[in-house]
Formats: sequence, structure tokens, C-alpha cells
Amino acid sequence: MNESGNVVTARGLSKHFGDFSALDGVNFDIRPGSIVGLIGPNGAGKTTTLKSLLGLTGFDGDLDVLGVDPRKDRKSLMQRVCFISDVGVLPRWLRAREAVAYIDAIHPRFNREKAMALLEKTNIPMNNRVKQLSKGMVTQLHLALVMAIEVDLLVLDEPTLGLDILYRKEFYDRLLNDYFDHQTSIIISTHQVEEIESILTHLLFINKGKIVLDAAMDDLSEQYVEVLVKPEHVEQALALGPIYTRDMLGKKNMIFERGDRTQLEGFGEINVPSVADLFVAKMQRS
Amino acid sequence: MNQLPMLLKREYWEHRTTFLYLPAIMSMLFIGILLFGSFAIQSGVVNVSIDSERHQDGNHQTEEFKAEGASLLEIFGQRINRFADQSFSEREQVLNQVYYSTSVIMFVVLWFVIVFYFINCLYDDRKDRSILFWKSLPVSDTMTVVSKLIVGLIVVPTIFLAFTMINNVALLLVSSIAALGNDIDIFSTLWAPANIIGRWVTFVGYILFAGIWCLPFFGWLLLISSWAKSAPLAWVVGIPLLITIVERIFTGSGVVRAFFMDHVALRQPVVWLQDGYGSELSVVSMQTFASLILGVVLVGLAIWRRGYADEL
Repeated sequence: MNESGNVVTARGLSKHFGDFSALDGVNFDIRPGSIVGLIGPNGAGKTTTLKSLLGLTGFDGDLDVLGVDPRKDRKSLMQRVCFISDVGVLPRWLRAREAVAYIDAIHPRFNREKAMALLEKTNIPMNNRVKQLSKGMVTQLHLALVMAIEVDLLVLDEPTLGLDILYRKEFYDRLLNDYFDHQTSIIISTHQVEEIESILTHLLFINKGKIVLDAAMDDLSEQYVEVLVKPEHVEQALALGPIYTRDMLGKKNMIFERGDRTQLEGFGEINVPSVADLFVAKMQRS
Repeated sequence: MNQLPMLLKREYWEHRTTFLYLPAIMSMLFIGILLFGSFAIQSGVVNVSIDSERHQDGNHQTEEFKAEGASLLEIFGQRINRFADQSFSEREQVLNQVYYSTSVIMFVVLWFVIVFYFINCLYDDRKDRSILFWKSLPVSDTMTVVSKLIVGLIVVPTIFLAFTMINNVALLLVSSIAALGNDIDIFSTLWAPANIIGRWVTFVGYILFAGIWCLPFFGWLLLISSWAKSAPLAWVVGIPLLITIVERIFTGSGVVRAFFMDHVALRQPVVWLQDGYGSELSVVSMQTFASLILGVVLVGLAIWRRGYADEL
């Protein structure tokens, strides 16, 4: 944790490539024990944000990760932060057993027995090189290695990109059941919102280098209301300025931000909007 | 926690083909040729006709050698007896040529292995994105680059040196066995003047000296490897070539070119190796010192660039 009790504090985080702003004055906090979904379309600035957290790229503004400026001391940061990017980053020539031996010697918080126990549950031949393993196995290997490291922050950048649905589901099940202990914080970037919706505690929507939504999942139901508006109330409902409107079986599905709940209940059935609908609503408006 | 041994091992895992298998195969080939040669000599099955003339310009010695339908064993016997009759220093000179020429091939290959290792070692992992894995672990950029430098300057040369030593011993043993049956003192004829222990000391000194002498070159390779977004080899060659041409056009001098020749083509270290440990070349010179400083600066720049390195 840093001085403000957060795992991550970002203030005015910016990154410019010539005239293009990959990040434009981004502010957010990550609290201990939270699982944050960093969600945005391709090119929104997700990877740049995560790379800034990890000290893999330069940036402007203030960023404090576990009390460390990632630009200055990546080595000590990486003792407490782990990182999985999409499947293609394990070196192709590395053997599974070499990967275990390497991290065992390099990382003070690596638990070799735990890694071996996790790997025994998979079908990964320990003498095989990464290039001989299937995509799914490479992900299993990487996840097993990372799960055996006791860290304060786990960063996942599109961790299941290019995997089929079985492996994707297994990945998140494992992460939640075997790993998450409410002390480690996790930040996951993805554009497949539906898959991680159920495991998140916080949402960060990012678009064109700006944060467009920053909310706890528990607060969503208070802040946003989805109404299945009956045809006769459409005019009235539209007058209240929904942030999102969609036709649905003759009715209109509308999302309101900080609307008057009792008034909205009069228009039709009320729900908590799905993250996917909320995402589309926010992206359209920004 | 000392990370260095594992970082060195990591490099070995990635490059064992060129670091170990290549010199091992070269050594096996060399020993195979030696054994085949000595078998051909000993079996006496090969009959040859030789009509050779040798002129040595140094001391105006002329040797004529004629053999009609003789076996190789007979020819070798004549040769080895004549060799035994020569003075110690003459034998030393001849054996120096033999051992030098059979060892130097290892050093030439070593040079290429190291050069290409340095060019790619900070580039390949950016190209295949595995830098994202390496950088997700708590290893400082300084440790990363220094471990690669140690691999190229000490670990790989040590492996090649070990196989060179094996080759030298094999040559010594096989030539001794081949000379058996001739009335010569094998130790004083073949062993003492070969001075292979002294030769190995020279090799070790050479490797250390060449490491410092060529540090600007190796540091330059690391810097480009760490910096280039594509085609590192083109940058490695291109920039010095451009500087040389510009220097030639505008100043007409060739100071930079001479520096490159000295520190890249190993002109001076090779002279030193050839002349042996008694060479007059001053190892401890201003130029050696300047090489060290310039090399350290370039390696430092490579480390600094590595800090900003990202997938390509």
C-alpha cells in the first residue's frame, strides 16, 4: 500500500505520441483487495495504462504503485507485482522446468512446491519447450507460475485473448477460486466484458485516453437504472435524458444515470443494467 | 539473493546450440580428422608420390623432398626424424605455427558467435515480445545487460577455450602416437617445444585483453541491440560506415577508420596472439585504458535504453 492506503494512485496520468494522446489526464485509485476491470475498446489506452503501472513505458503525471514510482525502481516493484499479458509472451525456447527453476532463483516470493502442485494438475510435459505447447497449455503454465508468487498486485492484460471458451472459463475460475484471497488486488484489462463481469468489484471504463466511468460494482445499482419503458411512457422517459436507448420487443430499454427511482418505476420494469449495456452507453457518449 | 548464476544459465539455455554444441562439433571434427590421418599413416595402406619443394625465405633454406611410391608411414618417419634433428627453437617455431593454425579457427568462430550474440541479445526478446515476461520479474536492467556482457566476454570464450585445449591435447597425443616406432625422444621433440600450457596461459590473457580492447565494439553492439527498432545489424554496420565516409570526404583522414580496424577486426590482439606471450605489444597502454572507458560508457547507454525498452 502507498501513503493514501491505496495499491495504486494515478493522478493526471498522460502519455502522448506526437499529437496523439494515448492517455490524457487519467485519475484513478485501486483499493487493496479489489478486482478492477479496466474496460475499453481497442486503442482506448488500456495497455498503455497497465504498462505505465509496471514501469514498462514512460509517462507524464503522478503514479504511485505500492509506494514506488514505476519509472524509477521496476526491480523492487516487480517483487510485489505480477503481470500476465496475452498468451504470446513466454519465450518460445524456454522449457517448462526451466521456467520454474528460473523464477525460483530470481523471485524471493516464489513458492516452488505450490507451482509444481499446480502444474501437476495440468498435462504440461515439464521437458517441453513453450513452442511445443498448445496455446491453452502456455496459458496454464504462465498462470501456474504467477499463482505461485505471493504478490500485492496482479496485472492481467487481455490474459485470455485468442483462447477458446473452455480455457477462458478455466482461467477465471482458477484465478478466483485458487488465487484470490482478498489481500491481493487484481486489475484486468479486456474488451470481453461479459466474461469477467461476475468476478469484478470495481469498474474502470476507458475511452480515447480518458476514464469515462469509475465505480464500485455495488454502487452501480444506485447510480444506474435500466428501465424497460412501456410504449405509452416513452416520450416522458426520453425527456429525462436517458444515457442509452435500445429497442427491445416493442418496448424501449433505457439506462438512466442517477435517476429518480420512484419516478422511473412508473415507466416500466426496473433492473440493474448489465455491464455490457452500460459499456456501450458510455462509449457512445464519450 | 544472487541472481547472476541463474541469469548466466538462462543465456546458456537459450543459446546452447552456438555456445556448446557448435564448438563441441568442431572439436569432434578436428579430432576425427586427426585420428583418420594417423590411421592412414599407421596402416601404411596409402601409397603416395610426393615431389615437394619448400623454400624458406627467412634463412634461405631450401628443402627438396621426393618420394616415389612410399607409404605415408615412411614419409612421416623421414619427416619426424628430420624434425627431431632441428634445433629446439626451430622446432618451437614450427610447432607454434601448427598449434596456432589449428587453434585459431576456434577463435574465429568464437568471434562470430559473440558478435551475433551481442547484436541480438537485447533485440530478440523485444521482437518476440518475451521482454514482457522477463520484465515482469524482479531483475534490474543493469543486471540483465551485465549478465549478457559476462556471458559474451567470459562464459562463451571459456567454453571455446576448453575445446581448444582438448584439441591441443588431442594433437599432442595423436602426433606422439604417430611418432612412436621412430628413434626420437618424444618429450623433447614434440612436447616441450609445443609448450601447450604456456599457450593456454596466452589464450586466457588474450581473451581478457581482447575483452577490454574490443569493449567499445561490444558495447556498441549492445547499445544498438537495446535501441534498434528493426534490423540491428544494418545499424551496427551502417553508422560506423557513414562516419568513416563523412570523415574521409570532409577531413581526408582515416583516424576513425583506423580505430575501427584496430578494435573491431582485432588487428592488434591477433598480432599479440600470433607472437605469443613474449610480444612487445604493450597491453597496459593509454589505448587499452581508453577502450575500457569508452566501452563502459556504451554499455551504460545500453542499460539506460533497456530501461525504456518495450515490445516492438
